[in-house]
Amino acid sequence: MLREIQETKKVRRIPAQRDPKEVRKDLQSLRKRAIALGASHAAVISASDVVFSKALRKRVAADKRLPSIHWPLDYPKDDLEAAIKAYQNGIFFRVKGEAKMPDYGGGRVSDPNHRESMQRVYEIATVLESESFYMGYHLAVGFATGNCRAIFCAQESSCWAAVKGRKCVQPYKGRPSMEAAGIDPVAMARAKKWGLPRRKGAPLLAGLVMVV
Amino acid sequence: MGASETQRGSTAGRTGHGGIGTLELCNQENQDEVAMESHGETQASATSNAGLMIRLEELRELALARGADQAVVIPTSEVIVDPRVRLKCMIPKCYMSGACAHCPPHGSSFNETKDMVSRYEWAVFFRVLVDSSVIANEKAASIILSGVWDDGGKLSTLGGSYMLLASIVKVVQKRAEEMGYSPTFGFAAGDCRDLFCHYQPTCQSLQTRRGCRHPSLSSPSMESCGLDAFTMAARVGWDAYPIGGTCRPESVPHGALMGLVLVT
Repeated sequence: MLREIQETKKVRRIPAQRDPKEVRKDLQSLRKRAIALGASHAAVISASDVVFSKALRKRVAADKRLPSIHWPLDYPKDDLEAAIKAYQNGIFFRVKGEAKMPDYGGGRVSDPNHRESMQRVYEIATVLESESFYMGYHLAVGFATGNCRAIFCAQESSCWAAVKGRKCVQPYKGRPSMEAAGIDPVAMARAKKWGLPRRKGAPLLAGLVMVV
Repeated sequence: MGASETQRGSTAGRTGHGGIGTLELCNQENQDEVAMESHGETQASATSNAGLMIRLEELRELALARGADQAVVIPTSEVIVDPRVRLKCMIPKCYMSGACAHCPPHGSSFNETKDMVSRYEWAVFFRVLVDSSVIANEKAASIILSGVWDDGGKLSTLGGSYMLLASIVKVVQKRAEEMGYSPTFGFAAGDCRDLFCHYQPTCQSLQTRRGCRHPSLSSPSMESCGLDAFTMAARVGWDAYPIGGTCRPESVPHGALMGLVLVT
């Protein structure tokens, strides 16, 4: 994945004012990139399309099986919702998972196939985020699915980024999930009429990159 | 749209002269006012404004003399405080986020910074250039963490650039306070712990009530307080490029570190 990032990197100067036409073009190219990287659905969304859920954040905070800096997203001094709403547009995407996949929440992902599907969401989120950044959208942030510690660092004794002075061991992959930030991917997918998993409790593998 | 065009016009006027343009415009306005009004109070106010502009220009020149490659005097209405900036410190997580009292989730929140900036009218904004081979060094992050100050001297140069910017902030603040503008507030770049407490196990401010080990040296960075230094740089006409962990030296002409001092 790192190779994918490096190959496509063209660093643009940060503009004083953004050209709306160029922004629209960039967002479309990022949407297509999400599909090319394995997303089954991808859409350009505006910040008003982002749905927040306090219940979801509470559920994440209560799930203490594998605590990490991204599960839940610790942002105590600022208003996370206001920060996300300060963006104008982003890319919301979905990856198709196995039909029988359970909702792992913040816990270990035992099935390697399920882990691989979830990793795909992280890969798309990080590639889109990185490409947006080098396109001159220097505040782009990506959100994936589940708990990154459960997916990339389940064998580690702790989340190293949570240890003072230590850094994340997967900085090019680890991201907070949409649910850890209190964003409801199911409500957003429903609004896009993407067709939700029919089985009760089945997870929706979705990611979000706020670009501009 | 109209507002942004006005803002662009004003910054273009200033940047063409590296900051002096604004002062000239202000002084011209003041001169016009003096000519039109014979009222004593207006005259006194104009003289006082002209004095302020001269002192701000002195601070701008001081920043340049101390090693900044660009410096401008800006009204604080052009200081951009954005709630997304502190979020970006955490996604993807900067290795120093959470490890230093100035860095998110600690430090000044978006609202606190906005409130602080609103109490000032003028600021000095400056830039220190860093060679792209130094700042877009793929090994930089791992070398910083390992504490090996070598790599052909590149890391020392990078650290020196951050140190230079931090020192300019303090020198400009000190001079401004000698001029009678107190309190001033300064913002540097990066995290101060790497610069001043690299070999300390923790940031003392976070761990004890004794506070910072180096209060006379350290400043929060612009980004850690939610100031969008990159867009501010672009709006005053400086070229700024996003440089991340996978950026290569040949991808950018140079890197830039920005500092800001709120003066009055």
